[in-house]
Amino acid sequence: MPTLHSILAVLSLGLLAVLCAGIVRRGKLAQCFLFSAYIAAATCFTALILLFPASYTPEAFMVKQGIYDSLLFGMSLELSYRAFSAFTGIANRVRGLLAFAVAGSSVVIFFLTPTNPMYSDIARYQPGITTTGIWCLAFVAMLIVWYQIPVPAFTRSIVLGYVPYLVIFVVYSDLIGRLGWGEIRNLNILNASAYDLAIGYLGYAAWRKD
Amino acid sequence: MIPVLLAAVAAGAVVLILGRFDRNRALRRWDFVLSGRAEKATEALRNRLAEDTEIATHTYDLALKRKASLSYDEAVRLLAIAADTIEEAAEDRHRRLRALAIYARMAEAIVPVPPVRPTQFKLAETRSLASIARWLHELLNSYEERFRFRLTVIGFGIRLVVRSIRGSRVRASLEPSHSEPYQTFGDSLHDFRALDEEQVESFRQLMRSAAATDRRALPEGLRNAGGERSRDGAEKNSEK
Repeated sequence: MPTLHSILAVLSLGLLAVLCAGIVRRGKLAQCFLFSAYIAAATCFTALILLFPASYTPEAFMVKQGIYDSLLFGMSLELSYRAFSAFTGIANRVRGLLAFAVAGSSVVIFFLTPTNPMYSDIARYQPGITTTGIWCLAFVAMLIVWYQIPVPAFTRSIVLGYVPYLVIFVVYSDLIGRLGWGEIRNLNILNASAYDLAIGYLGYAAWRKD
Repeated sequence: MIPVLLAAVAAGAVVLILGRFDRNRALRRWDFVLSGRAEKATEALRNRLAEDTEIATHTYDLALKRKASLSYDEAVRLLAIAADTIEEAAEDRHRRLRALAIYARMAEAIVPVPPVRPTQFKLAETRSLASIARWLHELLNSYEERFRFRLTVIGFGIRLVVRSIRGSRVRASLEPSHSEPYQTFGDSLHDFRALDEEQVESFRQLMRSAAATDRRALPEGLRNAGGERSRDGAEKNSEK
């Protein structure tokens, strides 16, 4: 009998497929290449996990999470580049502020990430890394509003949909450390539900005509 | 626990700030900034601001006449009406100042603006504010900071004037035969007008700054914003 978590995983695969189709169909792929890459990677990983659950080992999880984290930071940089590069008048100021944010987040990640990251220790460092990524995205969002940059509606939706989910992911990984791995099933349901909501919202935003 | 709190704060800020951000409104703002309707818009703003103060000044003059003819109740009532008009106008001024602060961020560079002149004010508190602000103005690094500081000083000045108007209104109702509350009320009205003039000047300077924006330095979608300016310019050129 399928568990609630596996139902949510199948649902997320369907929603990811809808989102991918929406991004391609509405020509929103180029609005943030790294977000599109993240969605493609998430679709592939989810499909592989559902097809070969036995191969979803802690090592596979670490590789997947490493890719997601890298794409998250890259996404903030790409979004800021796309939003501000055309405004040469303010680009220098923004570049300085972003350099400060990138340097700050690099220091945090340097101190948080252990030399040999282990799956069992994930609750110790993952919340900090994801929080740093959230702050980078929040920083870009605040600069967009501060300088009144008319970013496309889908770019706005990416930040508005993805950041709240990431907070749930931070809570999820923090709770693993607090409650222990025994609670992983319930926590997985919390995480998967939030993920499906976020992907559903992004799918809607992708298909919406701007 | 700290990462969770930090993440929640960031997400809250994103949802509140970016969630309320309206792309169409931003585009309209860019359109206005780039339209080059500076002279017309400045004159329209000056007239709009003068309307409120003229109503209040007229009512205040009537109050002085009633006081001179010993109709104190009527004088206090008229003073209250003038005070209400100014309080409503002050709300409008604060809204305009906030909008100016937003436009100032959008301008590529701000032309140098002078500090608010203290000598034009009659109330001691607004004069002191302008004197301190004049000193601080010189300490600020960029023209943009100085411009925003100027807006803050005007906003604070308006608050001080409104407070003074409220105080003189209460004092006049307690002792309607005394001339001090009427005098202070008149001085407050004068300072309110002076602050209006400073606001108009800030707006004019901002429009000058915006007009100097290099369109080539903007993304393609915004280069045609405020197209009226280019059309007006073309018409003027053809007239020549």
